Amino acid sequence: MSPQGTAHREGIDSLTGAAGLARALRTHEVDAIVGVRDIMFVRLKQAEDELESSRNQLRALTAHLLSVRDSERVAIARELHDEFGQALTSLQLGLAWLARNVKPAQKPLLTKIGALSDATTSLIRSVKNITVELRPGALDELGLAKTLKSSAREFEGSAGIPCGFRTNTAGATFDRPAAVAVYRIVQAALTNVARHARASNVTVALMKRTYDLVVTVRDDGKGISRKLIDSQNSLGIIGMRERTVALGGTFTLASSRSNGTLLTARIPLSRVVIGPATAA
Amino acid sequence: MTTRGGKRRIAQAGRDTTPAPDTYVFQLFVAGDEPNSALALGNLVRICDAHIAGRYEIHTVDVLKNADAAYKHNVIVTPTVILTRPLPSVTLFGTLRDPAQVLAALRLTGAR
Ligand SMILES: Nc1ncnc2c1ncn2[C@@H]1O[C@H](COP(=O)(O)OP(=O)(O)OP(=O)(O)O)[C@@H](O)[C@H]1O
Ligand SMILES: [Mg+2]
Repeated sequence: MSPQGTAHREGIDSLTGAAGLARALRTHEVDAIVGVRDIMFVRLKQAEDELESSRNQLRALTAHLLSVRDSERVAIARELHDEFGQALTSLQLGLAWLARNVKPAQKPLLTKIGALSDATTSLIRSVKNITVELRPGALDELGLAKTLKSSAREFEGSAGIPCGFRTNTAGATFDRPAAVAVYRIVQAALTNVARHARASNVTVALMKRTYDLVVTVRDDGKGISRKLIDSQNSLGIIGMRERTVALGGTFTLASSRSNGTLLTARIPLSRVVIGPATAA
Repeated sequence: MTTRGGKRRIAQAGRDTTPAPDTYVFQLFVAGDEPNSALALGNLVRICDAHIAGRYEIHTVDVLKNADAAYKHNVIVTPTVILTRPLPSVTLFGTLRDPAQVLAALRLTGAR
C-alpha cells in the first residue's frame, strides 16, 4: 500500500464509523448527544479541567499559607527573642541594681524585688521556650535526624511512652523547608499519639530510599477510623498531608484497631536536596 | 462568522444552493457555540482553505435549533461533519484536530 493509501486508511479508521465515534467520545471531542427526544450536553472534559485547576489552586494556596505561616513564626520568634528577650534581660538587670542599692531602712522592698526578679526569670524562660517552639533552631544546629531523635527522647519523657528512632541519614543536611516540614509532621504525629492513641510503643523513622525521603511514625495504639482520617475537621491530619503534598510528596495513614497507626510521608529526594554529607 | 477574501461560502442550514460541479459540500452539525463544535468549524475551514480554497461550501446545522435535520441525517453527536458531495458521502466525528487524518478521510490528500 502506498504511503498515501496508509494515511487514507488511518484517517477513515480513526474519524469515521463506530471507531471514529468511540474515539471522539473517548477524547472528549463531543459536546452534545442528540437523543430521540432531547439533546444532552457533554461537558465532562471542561468540568474535569475546572476541577483539576481549582484543585491546583487550592494546593498552591495551602502551600503558600504554610510557607507564610512558617516565615511568620520565624519572624515572631526573632521579635520575641530580640525585643522581648532583651527588654526582660534589662528589666532583670535593673531589679538586681535596685536590690543592691536598697537602703537598710527600706528592707521590706527587698522581698518585693526578689519576687519581681523571680517572675522576670520565669518570663525569660518562657520566652525562650516559645522561641524554640516557634523556630526549631535545633534543626539548624543539629540537623534533622538529631533533632528528631531528641524529639523522640523528649516525647518519651513527657508522654511516658517508649519512642524509638531509626534513620539512615545521619550526618545529612536537608533543605530547610523540607526539614521544617518533616519536623512539624513528626511533632504533630507524636502529639496525636500522646493525645489519642493510648499506645505502649512508638517508632519514628527517617529513611532515605532511592527516590524518596520516607518518614514514618508507627504506634501500637487504638487506631484511627477511616472517617476521622478523611474528615474535614481533622485539621492536624490535613496539615500534615498538605505539608507533604506541598513538597511534591504523598501522605498516607494506615490504621487498624489491632495494629495501631502507621503514618507515612514520602517526599521526592529532588525536593529535599540532601547535602554532600550523604553522597555515599 | 467572518468570511475571508470571499473564497469561502458558508451557507446556513435550509438555504438551498446549487454548488458548482467540482465543489465540496459539507454539512457540519454543531450544538450552539459549544467548544468542540466551534473547534470543528474552525478546523474544517482551515483545512478547506488550505487545500480546496474557493471550491467548498460548509452548511452548518445547529442541532439545538434544527433537531429534525439531525434526526434525518442520523446525527447522534456534535460535532459531526458529513461530506455530501462529491459522493460517496463520508461522516466524521469530533473536532477534526488532526488535518492529516481529516484529509485522508475526505479523500483530499493531494487534492490541492
Ligand atoms: N495516632 C493516633 N491514634 C489514634 N487516633 C488518632 C491518632 N492520630 C489522630 N487520631 C484521631 O484523629 C483525629 C484527628 O487528628 P488531628 O491531628 O487531625 O486532630 P486533633 O489531634 O484532634 O487536633 P489538632 O491536631 O488540630 O490539635 C483525632 O481527634 C483522633 O481522634
Ligand atoms: Mg493532632
